[in-house]
Amino acid sequence: MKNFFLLTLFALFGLLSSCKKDSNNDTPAKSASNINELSPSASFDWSTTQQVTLDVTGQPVPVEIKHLLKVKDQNGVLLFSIYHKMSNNLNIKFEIPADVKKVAVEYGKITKNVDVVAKTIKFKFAPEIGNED
Amino acid sequence: MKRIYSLIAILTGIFSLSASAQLTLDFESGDRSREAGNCWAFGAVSFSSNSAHNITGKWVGRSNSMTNTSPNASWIKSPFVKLGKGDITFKVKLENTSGTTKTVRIRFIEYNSANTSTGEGAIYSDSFSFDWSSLNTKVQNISYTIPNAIANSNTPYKVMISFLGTGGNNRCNIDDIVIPGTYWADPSNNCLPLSTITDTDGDGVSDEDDAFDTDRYRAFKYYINGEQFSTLLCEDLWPNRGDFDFNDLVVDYRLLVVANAENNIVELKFEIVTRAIGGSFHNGFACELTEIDAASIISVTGNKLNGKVFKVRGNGTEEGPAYASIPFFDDAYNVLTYPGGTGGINTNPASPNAAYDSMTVVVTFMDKGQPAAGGAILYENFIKINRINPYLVVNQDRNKEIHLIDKKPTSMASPKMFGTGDDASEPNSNRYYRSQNNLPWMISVSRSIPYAAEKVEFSNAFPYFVKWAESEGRSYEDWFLDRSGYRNPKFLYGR
Repeated sequence: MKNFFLLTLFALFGLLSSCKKDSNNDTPAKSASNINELSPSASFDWSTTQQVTLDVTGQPVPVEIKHLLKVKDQNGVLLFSIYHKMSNNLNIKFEIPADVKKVAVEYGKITKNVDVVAKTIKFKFAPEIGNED
Repeated sequence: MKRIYSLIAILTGIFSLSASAQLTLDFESGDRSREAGNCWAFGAVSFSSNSAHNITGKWVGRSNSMTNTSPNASWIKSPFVKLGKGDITFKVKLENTSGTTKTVRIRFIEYNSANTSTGEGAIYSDSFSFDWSSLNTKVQNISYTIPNAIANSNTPYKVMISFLGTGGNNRCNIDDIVIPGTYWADPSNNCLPLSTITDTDGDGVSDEDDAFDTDRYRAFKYYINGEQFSTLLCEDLWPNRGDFDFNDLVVDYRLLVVANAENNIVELKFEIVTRAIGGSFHNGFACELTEIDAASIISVTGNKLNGKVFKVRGNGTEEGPAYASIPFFDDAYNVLTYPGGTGGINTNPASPNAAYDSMTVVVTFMDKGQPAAGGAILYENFIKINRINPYLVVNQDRNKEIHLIDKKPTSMASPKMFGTGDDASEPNSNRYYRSQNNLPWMISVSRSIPYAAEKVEFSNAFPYFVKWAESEGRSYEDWFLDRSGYRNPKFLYGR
């Protein structure tokens, strides 16, 4: 009987405890107002650049064509370039400003505007057409 | 002497031609985009893998319903080709027997240089038509001999195959197109014909792409992290916190790579603009090229050294560090001229300002095509990782370096100060130059930006800096740009 009483007491205590408000959730996190109040996590690298992958699908042309492949921001500022054979695939990483979300990829007279999606710039030389008209 | 290459296959940006003596299109790529990328064009002609349409293999071309007598209603155009002798061949079949007349026509479109858009000129006078005498669904083998007048001509042509007819809803399937001749289109130039190129220095790179078209040992200019300047902002009291004005040393920098035709690095050019010194320390400035052997370097020129901090080898790299380290200056106060007044240089608005100092430090890897003893470095290999590791040497003490957060010190830095003062570096965890609160002593901004005046906390000058850092880079990642409300001129140093 004594054991039953103690068990009931513990259960009641546990029930009440679980119903208690979590005071931490009531107080919104205070925003830092200056650098001294900042405390970012150890994974933050304070970089204003992002490492992106340029993923180029080669075009199997019957002749060898080589040009500079250029990546520019929307203001025409050159971010990256490499001398590239058109028939080859390319997968290469480089850094661009973190605020750049859209780039222009140029190769010879080919220019395409490409969104930076998941830190990847996907580019193919061929025009974007489906199999149907 | 200007050399103009006009071999049979000298093309815009093209140096070897492996085109076979015929063009083919069997549709088996199943990818109209890919074929269009090779300059085939399709007007109301789709790709089909429907088994009812099969001729050979899995895929065919499929015309629009042949109810139009215009050759421009449904068609396929080949790339520009220098036609050879022989027969143009392909297979066609109708999908059903409905309709009145059905025709497949072959025509030739002459190249016209005045048409800079498509290059298409006049239609050659001779053409060929195949008419179904009675409509059926049997495979027809079409063959047409290229007219002598245009076979083996130097003029490029496109071959146009059109699908015409009247009455009924009936389409044509086409497969296995073969055109005798040499592919003569440039997919990188709007599919215009391949053209003669000029390669003045004969290094194999056309003048169009050659940034040094009269220097056979140099071909390309590449910017690491873009052609825009970045700004490096430093606090120099490490391992103790400073005042976070991030102006103890302010430099703009960018890095240009010069490579030869084989994409081997010939030289690196560091362009450095020293703008401000916000403290009293006499700091040095250098950059390690991570994992690059100093023996790969022939020379370093253009820096401003007095020998008091950096001891250099015969090739100009610093003696001691495990990887190549390029010293720029021993003492920022020897680079900017002190203009008088109080405080540092170009940080106190009440004091006179000094002219910025611009220097170009050239790191040479190859001389007249010959690499240093350590061997040539391919551009692609150089950019595989971020090798640019700039650092301060604090107040003439070579043991004391300050780097960007988590960048390793050189082997010249003493590890004894890690974990002292406000520093919470943990070399075993590759954590460097972080405070207990993960604050940095040096930041690099991917644009050239103004900086805070002396004793002004950086976040007062750039109101969204704190929000950016608080969000760990997810918000206001453009905090440094010149946008409305992004900068507070009152707290910026103005020259």
